[in-house]
Amino acid sequence: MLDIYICEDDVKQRESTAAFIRNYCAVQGMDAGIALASADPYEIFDAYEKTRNPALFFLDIDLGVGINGIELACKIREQGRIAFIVFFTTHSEMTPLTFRYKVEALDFIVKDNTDNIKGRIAECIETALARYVIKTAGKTVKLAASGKTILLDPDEIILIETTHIRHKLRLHARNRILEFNAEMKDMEALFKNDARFVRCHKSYIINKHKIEAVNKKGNTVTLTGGNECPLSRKGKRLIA
Amino acid sequence: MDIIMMLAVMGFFLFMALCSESMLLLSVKNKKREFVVSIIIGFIYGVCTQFMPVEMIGYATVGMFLLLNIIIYKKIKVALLSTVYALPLLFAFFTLTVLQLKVLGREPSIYDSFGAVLFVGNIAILLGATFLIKRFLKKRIDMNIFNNRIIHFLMINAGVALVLMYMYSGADNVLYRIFPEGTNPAYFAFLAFFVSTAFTFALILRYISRENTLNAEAQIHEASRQYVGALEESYRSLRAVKHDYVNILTSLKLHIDSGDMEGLKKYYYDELAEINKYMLNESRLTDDLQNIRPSEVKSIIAYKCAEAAGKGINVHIEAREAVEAFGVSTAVVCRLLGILLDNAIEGAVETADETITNTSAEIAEPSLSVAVFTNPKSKTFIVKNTWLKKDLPLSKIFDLGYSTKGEGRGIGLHTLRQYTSKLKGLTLSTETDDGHFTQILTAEDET
Repeated sequence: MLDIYICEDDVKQRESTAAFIRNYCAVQGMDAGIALASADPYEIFDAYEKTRNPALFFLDIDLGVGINGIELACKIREQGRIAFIVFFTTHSEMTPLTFRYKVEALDFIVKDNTDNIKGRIAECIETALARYVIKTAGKTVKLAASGKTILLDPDEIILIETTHIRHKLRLHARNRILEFNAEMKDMEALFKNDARFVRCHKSYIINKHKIEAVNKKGNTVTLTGGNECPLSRKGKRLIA
Repeated sequence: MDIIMMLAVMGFFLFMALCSESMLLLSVKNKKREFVVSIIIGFIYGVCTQFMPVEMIGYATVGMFLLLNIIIYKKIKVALLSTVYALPLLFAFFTLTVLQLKVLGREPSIYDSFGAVLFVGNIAILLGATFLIKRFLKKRIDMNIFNNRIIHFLMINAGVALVLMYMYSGADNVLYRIFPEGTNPAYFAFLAFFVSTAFTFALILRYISRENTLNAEAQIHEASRQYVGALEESYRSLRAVKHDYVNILTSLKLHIDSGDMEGLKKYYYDELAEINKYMLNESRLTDDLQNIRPSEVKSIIAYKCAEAAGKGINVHIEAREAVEAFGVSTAVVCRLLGILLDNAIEGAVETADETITNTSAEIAEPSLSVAVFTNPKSKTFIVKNTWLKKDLPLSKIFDLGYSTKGEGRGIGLHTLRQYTSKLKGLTLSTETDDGHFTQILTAEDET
């Protein structure tokens, strides 16, 4: 069950959104429903804190009282549970990069274009449900990077390496490179049950499926994306 | 005289150590192996010297260092350079120890037990001192000034000269023989050498650091100038819009008075919506920047964004939260942001060129977005630009000189990686998709 919360200070907009979602979920027979629609961010947060269900939030940016939508989103993220956040925003409040990278917002809906708001809401519910299924199926790994959790598909990870700075690791994935604070042994523990990942060297954990060539004489392997990493004696055995 | 020489040797050693450290920024990841290898080779070397004719020791030392470095760095060029750096350091230790023994009035030999202890003690003390001084300097100056071509050439010169002087000065090539005889002309040659090299390096370093500061100041000054320019420009356009408002209201009134609903609609959607969009963008560029307090950072963003806008790129800035200070120095933040933004502009310009020649709708409009926001314990900068996805392995873009543009480019991203690799509390993540390239720089707050 996906709990849906709406935080919007304009009564008319809040009620029309809630009515649409209620109707949409019922018609589509979705495993989702409105848990609370309110103008008060604290009320929303208190209600969310009490439950254990995964949740989808539709938050207005300017809430008029106390904290704004982004700050509420931060508080929700601090809980560290599966939660999807969508912002209602006006053109002048729109900060897509901040939404996405500060609180990992799923999406944002611009209120100024009144025509397709409903369509966008429906899209968000569907995406959230789909992602929720993937997440609970254990297909993602969670990394804590600079106080944030990052979800990654292990299939995309190519390798994790150490840097010159203690506790700072660098992860290479298909189309991203991430630096974050953690230790190799935590990473090893994280991938303990995943046979694809081996610690082929003191400073490297690699995805075996991403090996393109093994150069045994030079004691290195070449991985997808041109990464080359050394093998320790133990690592060579693990690769073979 | 001996005391002066001792101080000079220490100064010489310090510069040498600092410079070599900065030059050999190598990816020696396996510290354990490095350590074990050096100890084994050192031990073998120690045993060998016992059976070696005394004149051979100098050559054997060179060979030993070269071998050690080849094993550690696995690259001949780097091994040679680090040998050139290491030898004078070793000779500096010898000289220092022998001088100390002489001042203490003991037999000037490092092969008796007292001499050996002193020798090892000197190594420990001087290396420790270098480490401390490095930590001290790191907080105050940009350590990159040591990584300068002039310095390296001088260092290599001095190193070679010193080695040659040692090899050919003494009666039987054994360096410590020179020092007891205070009247030996070689003694004064060494004194002159150490004092002059130490001074030369100090002067050159001062010159370079001053030059760097001046350059940085000039850049910040230029950036501030541009920022003020952008502010003035936006004020001017605001005045123009104010003036326009009167006209707009008059036009609206005319349409209403004549009951021309169609004309009113057309006027609203065609003319006013455009003006509205323009105003929003224009005011935002400078509005958001006010939240960034350090003026250098504000200026560099404004400057680069103005540059991008001038090249026909859509610029979008997000900075809704007040940002007071960063965990690393503002100078470093400016440098890194400068590189990130230059790189982003370069990428976006490529897409701009592409949209001109290739008018298919698939290619997004060239754009550059910059976001600054705070996290509970850090600050994040995001620079996102449109780019043309190439056959470019992501892992290679940070390599020195690697760029799709050919020789001499790609230095910026390499410098960036060097900074984030060396400074604690800075992380740089990169994300790409088909149309966009995003860099996320996070600076942890000072604790």
